[in-house]
Amino acid sequence: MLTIKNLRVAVEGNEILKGINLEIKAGETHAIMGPNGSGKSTLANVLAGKEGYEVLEGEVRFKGKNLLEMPPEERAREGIFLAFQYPVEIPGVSMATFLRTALNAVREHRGEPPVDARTFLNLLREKMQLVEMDEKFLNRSVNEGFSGGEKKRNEILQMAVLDPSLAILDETDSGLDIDALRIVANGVNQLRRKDNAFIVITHYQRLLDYIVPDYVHVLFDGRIVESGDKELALHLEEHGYDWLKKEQTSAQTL
Amino acid sequence: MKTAQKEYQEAKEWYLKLFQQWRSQGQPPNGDPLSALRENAIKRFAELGFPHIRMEEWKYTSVEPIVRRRFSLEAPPAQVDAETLARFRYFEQTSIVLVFLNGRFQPEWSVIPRLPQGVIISDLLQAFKQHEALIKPHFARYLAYKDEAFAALNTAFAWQGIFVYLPSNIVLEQPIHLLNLAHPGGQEFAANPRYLFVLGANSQATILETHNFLNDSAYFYNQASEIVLQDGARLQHIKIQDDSRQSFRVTTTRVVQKNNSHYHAVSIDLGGLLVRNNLTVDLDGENSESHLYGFYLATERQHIDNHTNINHLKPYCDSNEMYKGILTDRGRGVFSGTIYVHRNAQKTNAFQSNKNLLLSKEAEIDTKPQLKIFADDVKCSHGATIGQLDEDALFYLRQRGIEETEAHVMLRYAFAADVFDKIGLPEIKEKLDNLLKERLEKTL
Ligand SMILES: Nc1ncnc2c1ncn2[C@@H]1O[C@H](COP(=O)(O)OP(=O)(O)OP(=O)(O)O)[C@@H](O)[C@H]1O
Ligand SMILES: [Mg+2]
Repeated sequence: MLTIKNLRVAVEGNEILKGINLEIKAGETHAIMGPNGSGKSTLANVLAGKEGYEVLEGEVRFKGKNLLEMPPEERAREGIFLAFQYPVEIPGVSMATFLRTALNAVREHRGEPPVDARTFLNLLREKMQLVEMDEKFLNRSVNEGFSGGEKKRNEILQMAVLDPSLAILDETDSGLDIDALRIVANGVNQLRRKDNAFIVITHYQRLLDYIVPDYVHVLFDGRIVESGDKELALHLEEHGYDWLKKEQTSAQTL
Repeated sequence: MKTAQKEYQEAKEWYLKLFQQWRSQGQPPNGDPLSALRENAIKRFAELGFPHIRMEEWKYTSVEPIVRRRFSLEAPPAQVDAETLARFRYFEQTSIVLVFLNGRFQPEWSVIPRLPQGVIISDLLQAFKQHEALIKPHFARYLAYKDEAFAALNTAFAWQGIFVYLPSNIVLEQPIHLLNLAHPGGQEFAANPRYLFVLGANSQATILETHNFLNDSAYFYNQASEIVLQDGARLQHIKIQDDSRQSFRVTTTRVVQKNNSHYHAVSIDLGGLLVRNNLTVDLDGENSESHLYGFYLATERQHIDNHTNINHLKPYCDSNEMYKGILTDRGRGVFSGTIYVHRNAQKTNAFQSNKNLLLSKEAEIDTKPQLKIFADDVKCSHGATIGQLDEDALFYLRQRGIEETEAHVMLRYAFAADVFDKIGLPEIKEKLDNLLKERLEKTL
């Protein structure tokens, strides 16, 4: 589904991603961990098409297409969804209008007719139940005045409505209380299918107890320095990143 | 090249000459109840001349384009048909519709259904004949025509206009729609419409002013209004200005509010090449409230200037003001909002904000909030912001599959909706929404 080859990316002249290689197949869930500032969000943003990133080298293919050539909205319609680490407040744009516009854009791309108001509302109600969000949020502006946890749940709600093929969750677990964490994880698990895939960026093993990944990667200073199965996350939880740092420095001095 | 001074002098003389001609032709026709007032007003205009940019209140708005032109007083005779008018109607149901073509009241196209006992909606000069006792105590009593050139000019030439009078305790359910259409037909004309609205104690009304055009050419509206809200009266006053992009407009409005009265104004400016709105509200009665909202969209080479003055003269009054503008291309906006609190006006609450979206490098906004507070027990605040579109919000929308252009429109719409939402007329919301969206799409 997604193939990243030797991706090097700079922000304002500083190289942040220094050669990422990653292969994600349909049906898989990959966790990406790594210390603060290692480039996790940068990777997510580059995949989603955010401006301000300079691709120095490398290639990203999504469903066989050259992803880096597409504008963000086309990537989204092709099935890439980014649950933001810091969701933006958009005063004046109601949740209902926003979600319906987005859904219809995605549906049009898939060759499906737009949803009428009634069908949309029913769909929305069902998905809101999934993330245990109250219906009164529909009349509010997107994320405006939402608590940290509500914003994160809102990301999952949008994901559930748009039904992407590759969802990238950037620290969706941060700032969630234990109940919200369970709700979010449940939401994700219910959406997992053979024909879609997830990238879960997190600092905590805790989330991976709920969303059990097929692969775990460690991003360190712009490179994936370690890949493994869910045992790797447990190891990190116990030993932190220090042992990796040592390995890295010794590898570099060799 | 003529010096600006000479231009201003010649322009002044042009209007003085027009006045003499107009008067010597026996205008306005059928006897003039305002002779003495006109002479006073034109004298003041002769002394004042047109304002220039060295004056503090006109620092950012040069009226030179108006000064350079020689508008005629005679608007070309204009024809409309029912179908054309229907395009500019806002209310489906029974409403009061007063049609003005090139500034002239058109009784035959207007719709005035049976009105409650005592309510007057009348041609201005007619009203002096039929309701002198009601109109005389108010007419030209509030407008500062002795100090402001445009108000003086309007007063000198005022004969086309409307007098609205509500007796005490009347709630006028139907909105009054003042439907203005400019149909210049090539001739550059000036109109001086004059309105007087007097709302008796505890009466209520809604007034919708719309300004549209049929031919895109130059004309100049110099409009003046006086609004009196007696104790407990409530007025919702909406204006949708969508004039020709070649036209000029100066609007001078003075509102006087007595005890417990409530004024709610929403002023939308989309059209015009050069627009200047002077809105002054006197909170001259305790416990009165004034809510002033405005939205302006200046594109191409439009220049839209809103000058508001809120005078808190009595204690326990609230004023709340929010103006928002979108400026693009070489569009230019000016906002100057003065809140004056008299030393007797204790317990005043006054809030003001002006927010602007600058969407191009050539666009410009000058914003000047001013507080002049002479009482000590008051709550006042003001703030002005100038910003670009929120790139993070734009990316967020696009990341959900929304087309870039549509995302832009959504964000601009959201910005403007703050003001449009203050229009308390649900039956015209859809029409206004469409108008706004259409305009915003054109700004892309
Ligand atoms: N716009 C920018 N300008 C300058 N540096 C940037 C910019 N965006 C990111 N960086 C830098 O790139 C590096 C990687 O940032 P990124 O946000 O990808 O880290 P992260 O792995 O997501 O960290 P965290 O775990 O704290 O979320 C950081 O050092 C950051 O300061
Ligand atoms: Mg991050």
